[in-house]
Amino acid sequence: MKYKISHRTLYKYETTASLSHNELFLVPRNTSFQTCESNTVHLTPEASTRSVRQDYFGNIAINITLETAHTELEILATSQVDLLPNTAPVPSSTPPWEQVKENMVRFDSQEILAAYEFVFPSPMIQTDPLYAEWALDVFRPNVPILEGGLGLINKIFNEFEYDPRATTSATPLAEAFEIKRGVCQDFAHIGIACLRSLGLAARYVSGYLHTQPPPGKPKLVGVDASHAWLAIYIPGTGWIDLDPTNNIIPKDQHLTLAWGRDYGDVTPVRGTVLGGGNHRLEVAVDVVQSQG
Amino acid sequence: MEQTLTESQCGQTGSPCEPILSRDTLSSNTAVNFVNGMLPPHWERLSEYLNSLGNQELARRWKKARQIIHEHGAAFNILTQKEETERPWELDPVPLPISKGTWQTLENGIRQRARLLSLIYRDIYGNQSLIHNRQLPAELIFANPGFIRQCSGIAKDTSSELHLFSSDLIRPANGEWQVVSHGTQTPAGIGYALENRIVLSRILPRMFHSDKVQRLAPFFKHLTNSLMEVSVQKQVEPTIVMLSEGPSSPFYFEHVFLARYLGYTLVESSDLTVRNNTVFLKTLGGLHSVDVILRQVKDNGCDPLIMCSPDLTGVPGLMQAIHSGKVAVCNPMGTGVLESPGLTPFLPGLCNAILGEDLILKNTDVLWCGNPDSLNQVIDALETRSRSLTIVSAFGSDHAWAVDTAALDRDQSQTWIKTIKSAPYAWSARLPVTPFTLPAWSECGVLNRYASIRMFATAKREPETLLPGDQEKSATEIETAVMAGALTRVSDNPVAFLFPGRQKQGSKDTWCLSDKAAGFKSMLHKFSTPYEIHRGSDLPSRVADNMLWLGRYMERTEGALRLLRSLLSRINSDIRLTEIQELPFLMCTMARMKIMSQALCKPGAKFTMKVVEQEMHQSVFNADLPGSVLNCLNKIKQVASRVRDRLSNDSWLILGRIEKEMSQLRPGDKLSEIHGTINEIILSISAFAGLAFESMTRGMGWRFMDMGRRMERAAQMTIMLKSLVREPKIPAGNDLKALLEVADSTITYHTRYRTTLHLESVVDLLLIDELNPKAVGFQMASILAHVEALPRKEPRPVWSLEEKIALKLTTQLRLADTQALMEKGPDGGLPNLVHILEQIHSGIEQLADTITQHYLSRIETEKQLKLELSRTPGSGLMGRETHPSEV
Repeated sequence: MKYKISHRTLYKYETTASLSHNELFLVPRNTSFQTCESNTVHLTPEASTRSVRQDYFGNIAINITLETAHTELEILATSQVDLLPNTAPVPSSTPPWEQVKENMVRFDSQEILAAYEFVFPSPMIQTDPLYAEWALDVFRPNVPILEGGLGLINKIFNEFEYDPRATTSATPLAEAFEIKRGVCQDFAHIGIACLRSLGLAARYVSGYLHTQPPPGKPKLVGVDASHAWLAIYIPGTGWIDLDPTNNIIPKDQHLTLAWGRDYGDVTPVRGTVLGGGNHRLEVAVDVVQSQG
Repeated sequence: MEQTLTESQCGQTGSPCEPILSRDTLSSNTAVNFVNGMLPPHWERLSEYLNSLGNQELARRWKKARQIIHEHGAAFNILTQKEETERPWELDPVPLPISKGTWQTLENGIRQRARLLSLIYRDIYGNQSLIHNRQLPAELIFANPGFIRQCSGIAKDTSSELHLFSSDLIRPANGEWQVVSHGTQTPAGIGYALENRIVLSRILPRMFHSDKVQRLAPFFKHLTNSLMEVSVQKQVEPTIVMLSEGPSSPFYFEHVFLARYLGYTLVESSDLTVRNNTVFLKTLGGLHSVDVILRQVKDNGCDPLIMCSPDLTGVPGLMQAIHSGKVAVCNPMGTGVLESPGLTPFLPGLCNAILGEDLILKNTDVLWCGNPDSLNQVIDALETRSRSLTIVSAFGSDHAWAVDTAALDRDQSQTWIKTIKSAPYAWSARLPVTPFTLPAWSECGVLNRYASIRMFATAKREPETLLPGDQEKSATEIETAVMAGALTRVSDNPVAFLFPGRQKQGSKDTWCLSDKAAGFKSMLHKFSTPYEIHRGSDLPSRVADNMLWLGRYMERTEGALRLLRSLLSRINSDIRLTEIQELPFLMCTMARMKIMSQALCKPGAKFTMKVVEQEMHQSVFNADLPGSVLNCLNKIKQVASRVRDRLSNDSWLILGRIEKEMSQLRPGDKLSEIHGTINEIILSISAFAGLAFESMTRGMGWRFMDMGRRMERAAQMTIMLKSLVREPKIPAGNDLKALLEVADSTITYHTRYRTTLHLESVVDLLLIDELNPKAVGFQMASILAHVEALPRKEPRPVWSLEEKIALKLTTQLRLADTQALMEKGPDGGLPNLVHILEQIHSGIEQLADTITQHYLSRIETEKQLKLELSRTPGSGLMGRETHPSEV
């Protein structure tokens, strides 16, 4: 299945801004199921400096500097992605989670060592026995790890309410957990916090979701936003994506941009500006299936 | 428990004949190891010399030493409340002598550790083979907040070694020297070590001549060389700056001291900007590219783009500039991870694995709870509470805090057990160890105190001897130079050195003895080099801005005080209030200067005793009035603290005096009591101005301060003159007299005009005259000279906007005809005079704005942009996707 993604970020300034530094994670990764066939990141006004590098986790980071006076900055990322249907293992066939936990500590292979990094707290996700206890009724003794993972996202899906007004990108995890409200980013963080507090490896995935219009209605343009979910590591199998916001294992409608320990590692657009007074941020995302 | 060694607490007790370091004193200290009842030679010579001086002579010399310390910057404390953190280490005159043999071991040990840690750094941020091979526990790095993943890939060449490295060591009584901790991000103390040496070489010069004490200067030479060498862009005369957090840093004094000594520009984050992946210094002359940054800012304060928290400071884009290879930052970014106490137990193994040799200096015992045995020991200590361990974070010192297991109650112990068990790898514990004691001298006598030394190393580079083939050195060949001296810290508390804290400590010079006689050359010549002579236009815009405002606030305060004093001298006299005809003029002027409430300028305003007293109190104490004395003095304090490195020590003393005088003003004071204090403050402010005039280098800093002063004075004078003609009539003689008094021009007037007061003569003297330093004309002529000297991009004859404005204002005054200014209008007022005053006043405002825009607008800093929230809702529209378990 091929998808066209357009991700437009617009900063509108009250007064003229003269200098802006930005770090962008807007290039879809290649994975075993996903191929990024094309990607352009277009800036208006054009950046005076643009550097591309691969970050610690293998994501593509673009660093740009604008030195021209501007009152608006538009960052338009367009990508064409080919996505094969993801095949997840049968949950009951996965190893018991306690065994996975032990495997992690032993890290018998390079791959497990690389995943081991995602067992620990990160700047936005503190681990706490509190999260482990909360998750223990789905991670009962000897439960296969993927069953536990599915139980966990089901629990988040049922006990948390989607509420974009409840949190911001700066809301601490503990607060979202307390009020049981938030958006996909919070849900992903909470799932990760639970898994890591149990001693399991979990990472944050930033990306997009191809949404379907309600039956009989046309698909609206620009209504989407960037999406986020999590992935859990199973030795011998690899990373399995889990989407707590939709309570599913992503199959062929989740498009991956980048992954890291938490939102802070892979924020799609992060920047600073000189001057400009107050500013407004507008984001529009469109994901459409393309032919061919 | 805490003993402070200050003059104020004791008189001179030691009798002249009593030895300073008696045999008893020395033998009561564990630092001195008697061999067969004999003092070791290095102690022998020291005590002989000190004893030959005697207490009185030492006290006399010590007084001189304190003066030197004072000159170097003790006065920096004056305007801050946190005096003890400003100078954490009070010096005492008895040094710690270290024998040649011992020193050799210490030096080799520190050199080895600097190399070892540099190589560990390269590995952690490189291919991580130490983790793969399990020589370094993965948890210690992966879970470490000091492990900054954005630094991966920058550790590839010579720039990735430690350019400045420190190590704290202690020696238990009857034991070996051992290493407590390492400083790898921004090691503090080389400035203090240097200062201690300078002071001691002044008061005990003979020892340096005869006793073959090794010099510190070569270390600084190596440091400078290594910073020059690391420059990527320019090998010849690279621009090197020292990046500091500014006055908020507890080590700001040292930053100022070192920057002066090394000749680097001291900058804060807001002075730097990144364009085209290159770092620039924002100066009055424009943007100057920076090649090397010697940072005194921790990893997490360097670049807000690499950290999540929006309130973090730093230079946006710095990390990208480092990745692009356009700037070298020393120490390299991400080195904080090397300070982790949890790393300590692994150093012996790593040393063998990496360098193929044994660790020369052993560590103080540290238990890392990631190791099951160590964890059990710590849990056991907490359970039984029978043993004292100090629990600290296993990660970098930034994240460290310490708790003594013996000091915990049962509940606290249980909480700690739970905390540690939930993430054992994040915790470590230090075993108790008692450092040796040393004699410390003060006027009170000699005290025994615990001691620790901090040694320093830098990368060693000899550019002139480098052969082409040498550049391809193998990874392990890192050359390191160790400072032939150290900062000795002393404390009453034996555990003070085991973890970072803010306990009051003393410091000592440390003497490493050698066979060869040390050179006798003083290092002091470097200090007298004024900053601005050779790099005039390098003045950071931020500094210029603060200097400008310092000048303005100084002048504003003086103006307010002079008005107040004139008013007070009238109120505190036997004249009845109603007979003081100039009262409305004085009070209206103050209202216009926002020193008093605006209502006073309204026609028909009543001036009863109650109103006058109330208003005068307000003008001193009301923080809501922009021009109140309290407000002005606070502003001076704020601005001055930001440019402390640019002001002379005497200027600092005066600022301290002003603050002291200000603290004598209390809201409950009677007007008569305030009078005297105000007189004193006026004198101090005049002294400050006099010093600036007499002793400041005529560089850009001085120019901006003087410009600020002149602009403010001109603005104030036009306000006073305007308020003189506020009503459409000829001003009364009393008003003129009061004006001359406030303007400090009474004598000048009377020498010129005898006794008669004429408005025309007063206007000539205070508005147009270019010889009277209080006149507007004088200010404008000075300002014109200043703006002509500012750095410029356009060559002559193109005139800059600020030059045009200053020229226009000066010319306008020069061409003014006083007779024409006295022409009466139809309402009996003086429209021509009012007109020119208004023009001059708005012209000054415009000039100030223009200068700010042209030279100072660069000080604005970047702010963080809003972040997009990934907020795609659960659509419930995922019909096509199914649970795999349902397949």
